Formats: sequence, C-alpha cells, structure tokens
Amino acid sequence: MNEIDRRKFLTHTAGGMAAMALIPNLNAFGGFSSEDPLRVGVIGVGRQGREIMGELSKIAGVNVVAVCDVDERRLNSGLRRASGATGYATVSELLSSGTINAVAIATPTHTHREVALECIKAGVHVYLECPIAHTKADCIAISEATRSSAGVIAAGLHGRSNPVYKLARGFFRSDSVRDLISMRAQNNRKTSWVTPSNDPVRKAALNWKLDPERSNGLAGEWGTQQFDVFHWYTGKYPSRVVGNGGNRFYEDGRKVHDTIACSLMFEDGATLGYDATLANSYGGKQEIFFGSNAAIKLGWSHGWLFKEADAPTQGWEVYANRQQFHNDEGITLIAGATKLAEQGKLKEGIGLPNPAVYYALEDWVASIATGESPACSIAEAARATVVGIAANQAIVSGKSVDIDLTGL
Amino acid sequence: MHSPLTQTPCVHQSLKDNQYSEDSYATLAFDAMGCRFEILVDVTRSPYEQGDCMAVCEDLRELVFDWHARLSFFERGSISSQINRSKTDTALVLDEDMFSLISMCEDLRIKTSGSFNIAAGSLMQAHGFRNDSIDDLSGLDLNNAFDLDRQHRTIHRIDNRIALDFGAIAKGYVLDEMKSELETNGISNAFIHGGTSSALGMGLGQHNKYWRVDIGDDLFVEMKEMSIGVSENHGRTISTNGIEHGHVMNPRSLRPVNNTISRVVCVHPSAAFADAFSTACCVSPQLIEKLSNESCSLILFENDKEPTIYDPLGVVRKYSEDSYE
Repeated sequence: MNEIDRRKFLTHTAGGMAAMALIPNLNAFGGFSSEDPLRVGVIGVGRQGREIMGELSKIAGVNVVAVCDVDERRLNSGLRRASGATGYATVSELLSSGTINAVAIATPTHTHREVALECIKAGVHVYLECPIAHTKADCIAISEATRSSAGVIAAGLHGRSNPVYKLARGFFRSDSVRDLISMRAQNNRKTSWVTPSNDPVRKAALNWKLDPERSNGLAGEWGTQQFDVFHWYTGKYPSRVVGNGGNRFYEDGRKVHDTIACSLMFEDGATLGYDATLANSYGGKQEIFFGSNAAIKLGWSHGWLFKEADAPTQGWEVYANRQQFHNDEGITLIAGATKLAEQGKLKEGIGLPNPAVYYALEDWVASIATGESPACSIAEAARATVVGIAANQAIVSGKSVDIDLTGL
Repeated sequence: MHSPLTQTPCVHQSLKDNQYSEDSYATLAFDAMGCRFEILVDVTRSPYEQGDCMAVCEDLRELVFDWHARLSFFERGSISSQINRSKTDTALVLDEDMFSLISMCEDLRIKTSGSFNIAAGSLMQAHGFRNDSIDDLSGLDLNNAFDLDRQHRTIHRIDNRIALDFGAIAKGYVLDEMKSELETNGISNAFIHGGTSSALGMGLGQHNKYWRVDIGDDLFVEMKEMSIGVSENHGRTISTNGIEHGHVMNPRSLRPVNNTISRVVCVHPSAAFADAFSTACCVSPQLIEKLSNESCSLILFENDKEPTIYDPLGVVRKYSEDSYE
C-alpha cells in the first residue's frame, strides 16, 4: 500500500470501524421481506447443510422452503429444521418444483460439479460451499458455467465476508505488519471423520472424505478455506507446494491422512506453513501473518494484532481492548470498535455473534438484493480450491507440486 | 480402570459399579452448555466396532454443540437470544425442533403449576445473576409470558421484559435427543450425562447390571432405562440487602427461592422431564406428591434431615454390603 492509501486508511479507520455493524442489520440491504421473500432450497442437509439452514433462518426476508438430500434420514432431520419446507430426493425434482429462486449447495465436494451446473442452468441464485470441486477440471467447468448464469453465484469462502477478517485485512493492507516475513495456519480438531451406518452402501456414500478417490484430504477439505485468507490478504497465490502426512492416530485402515503438514511457496520468497490433524484440537483453526512490525492472528470469530515493541503507536490504540497470551499482549480486533467504545460497550464487541458461514450467506443474499458482486466469486474460489488440490497432491505423493492456475 | 464420570457431592456414577475396560466401551468427553458432557457406549453390545462407536459419540457431540448454539442465553446468535431481542409485536417463526421444545416447556409449566418456567430468565436478570438487569418487575406475569401459535409455529413475547432461559431443561432435553440418536444407530447400552446433574442410562452397564448413579446420603438410583435430574438450591448465590439467595428462581413469586430444600433428585424416563420436575420441586416442595403421579420418583434433601423419598418407580436403593455384587 502506498503512503497516500495508508494515510487515508488510518484517517478513516475509526470511521470504517464504526460503520461495520457487529449486530447484523438484517434489513440493511432491503429487497426481501416476509411478503416477498427469497425462497431458498438447501441441497445436501448433512451437518454443514443444517448449519446453513439455521443461519439462513436468521436473515430477514429469507425462507428455506425446500430441502434436498438423497439420504432419507438426513432429509428428514433437515425438514425438522425448516418450518413448512418440502423435501426432495433429487435436485431435478427440487428445481422443477418452481418453489425456489435460490439454492445453497452443501453436498459432498465431488458432487458439486453436477449439482452446481444443473442449478446454474436452471437460472437460480446459487451459494456453493467451498472447496467448490474435487478436480481442476470441475473447477473450470463450474467457473465457465457461472459466466453465463442468470442468477447471483457466490462461493462460500467464509473469510472474505467475515467482519473480523475484513477489519484485519484493512490493518494488513495499511502496512500495520509492515514487511511480511512469513505466514502460518493450522486446523486441529479431534474428530474421526467417520460417519457410522449399519448399511454398507450408505456408509460408503457418507464416508466420502475418507476415500482418496473422492476426497482431497485435510488440505483440500479444510485447507482451502484458510489458504484463501492468505490469497485475499496478499493478493498473491503460491506457485509451489511440498508436504507430507500420515496416519498418526487412527488405526482403522484409512487411506486419507489424519495428520498433514505442508509449505506453500510464493514467487516473492514468502512461505505459508500449514498443518492440520484429526488427532488433537489444540489451537483449533487459525491463521497468522508475521510482519516486521506486528503479527496478525485470526481465529474466525476473533482476531488480534500483536505489535513489536519498536513498532510505532497509533492513536486508536489508546481505546483498544487487550488480551494477554502468555508473554504476548494482543490488541483485540473488534468490528465497530469506535462506536462500541463511545457507548462504553467495547468488550461486548469481542468475538462475532454468529458463525462465519452466516456472514457468507448474508453477503450472498445482499448481493441478490442489490445486484452487487458477492464477496467471493466462483473464480476466486476455483483458484483457492486448486491450491488445496495441489497441496493434497504434494502431501500424498511426498513430492514438490507446481500450482497451475492457468485457465482459472 | 476408572470411571470417566466426575464425582460431585451432588450425583456421581458409582466408581465401583461402573468400572469399564477401554476395549469394551467407547467414551467421549467434551465441554458444552457450561459443563462437561460424557458419553459411554458399550461396544460389545452394539452393532458397531470401536471406531464406529466413537463416530456415533462424535455425532452426539455435534448434536450437543448444535443445541448449545441454538439455546444459549449468552450467545447473541442463538435462537433464544433472537426471541429475547424480538419486539413484542413481532411473531418469530420457529423450526419444528425449536417449536416442539418450547411447546414441551409450556406443557411442563402447566404440569408444575408454574414452578418450572423458561420465562424465569427475566428473574435471573432482575435479581442480579445477569449483566443486563431489569429494575421493575411490577405487573409481570410469567404464566402469560409469550404466545405460541401452533398453526404457524410462531412465538411472540407478551412483555419486553420477558427473557427465555432454557438453562433448567437444556441438558436434559439434549440427553433425550442423544438417546434418540443412539437408538437410531441401533445402540441400546450407553450412559450419558451433562455436568453430572443430568444423566441418562440406556440398557445395562458392566456385569449385566443396570447403570447406577450415586445421589448422596448413602443412596443410589438404579437406572432402568431412566434419566435423572438434580436441582440444587446452592452453588451460585448472590447477596441482596444482606440476604444471600440461591440461583433458583420462583416464577410464581418472582423472587429467589426461599425454603429449606437443599437438593431435589428426579428420576423419570425423560431427562428433560427429570430436569424440569427437579427444578419445580426445588421451587415448590409441595409439588412432590402431585408429580410422583407423573411416572417419576422424587427425592428431596433438606438441611439436617433425612431425605424424603417418593419412589413409585422402585429405583431408589440404599447402599448395603451386597450392593456391589
């Protein structure tokens, strides 16, 4: 960022923070109402799909009127979470019902292409969870279909619409960290990834994440969301990745690694170190930018700025909330901080009131209402997805893999 | 070998009875709803291998996290908070699960003559147990706190001072949901608890015996497909005008409970009912006879007195030499 941009940002930081409402202003974008709602069908109502349904129900003017899943049990549990919705076993039935004008897709990654193309062709608005596809060819197919779509097509890379991440990006882009030294991210969660079922056919269908033919492993399924944060902040994509992985904990014969580590290298010499495991939950899901003046640590609902002792002090820091982490003191990044500080409610702003997916959905609905571009386009999501696919290839093969984003 | 369950003065799984081996049980512990949940599934009598049983436990954990996010009084994004923020002239549409829960709470309010009431959240605020306080309770009628429209599945608050708080039933309700999920998965022998004050036993424990829960004073409950709810009138207290009050509120008097009951244990097939009835009897001990007709056993503990036991289910036992055999 040049000096003018930087000064402009700092001048406007307080105002910018005040303008970012922490409590969602559900009618901020207008357009939909209970009389004329956006009628959404949710396709794929496993855990992620049900969470999407729950978050959509918080947005004024949005009605989940249909749910769709090939698995009867999941379909029934989805219906219990959508008042008055109709259930469909296939996407074709849903689309031909004429009851919806938008869909949120949360099916297994390897099925996204088929489902997304059918929905885009039908002309409905589409929210597609990320990673958007299982292969680069599928990413290209979805991207190309999007170009001629009648509806608003948004991808669910949640960082791009997250109020804390947007605020932190402002700090990053205004040189708060100064020279970017390195980047690191992790996703640790103790969970087996197994979905139990007595029926072998159902079990095979539900456990696609553990099938290397249908899964891009931890790097693809989890990493994609996090890699995109670095792409979005730096405006750059890695060109090469090396990695390794193994089954360090689960002894059930699985062929998809339960623990991975990889390094994604950028042309300017910067490196993003990423590791993830299903065997330990310490530290959870986080991303860190290390700079010569400060580090920014992001944890999806929270964010902090850790300043070096010799970094210059900025005026707004007087009002900042601080948290101690062992020997380090972090300045809490609070969306709407100035306004909250004026009201003496700064601490109430710590942490987001809704999960990250809420803001992605809210942004999509706002885009449909206003005609503005969504925070995350399919093209951006396709590139992040291909980075995740390449990282998985490097981890599985143990070899260096070039990241090829041509055609995206 | 040790029990995964935490001992408390209130209720705990008998260590000696419920010893288990790691090979034959799948166990999972996690924090949610302000307490520690623990799940113990008998692998040997389930249709699954150990790994799949663990996966079932993980699904249950997600279920609890999901309900925590929906019901939490403190999380601004929860449905409970949405209701509590809603305008009194606005009806909120609820999903089937949430509407069923609130309808059940209404039925329980009526069964307990208003001694159990989810609208008592307002009282926690009024009496200083919450950050945001209410100064004036005059004219507040918690028995007419909200309207439920069963046809349209909507709720609207009658008075903007009304705050729903599911704290007295959330753990029990989610245990019932977990039981249902276990049954769907074909698992019929398991023990689950939330913070040890709500527990549910399915089938048999080790040595082909029913699960046993120690309830103090040398008593234990034999959990024959039963749940247990415990309500205590101590724990969190607050002092107003020099008088110390417990955290249990009387929705009928709009005041903190003021009686000699220290603890009520309710045993009922439903964990949600057990939670609600134990709270109701803690508020109004005279309900014990009425509620013992509701397919439940009730045990009242009073300071310096022998416990009062109403046990139509025949599940309350006193420890003796042969209890462990």
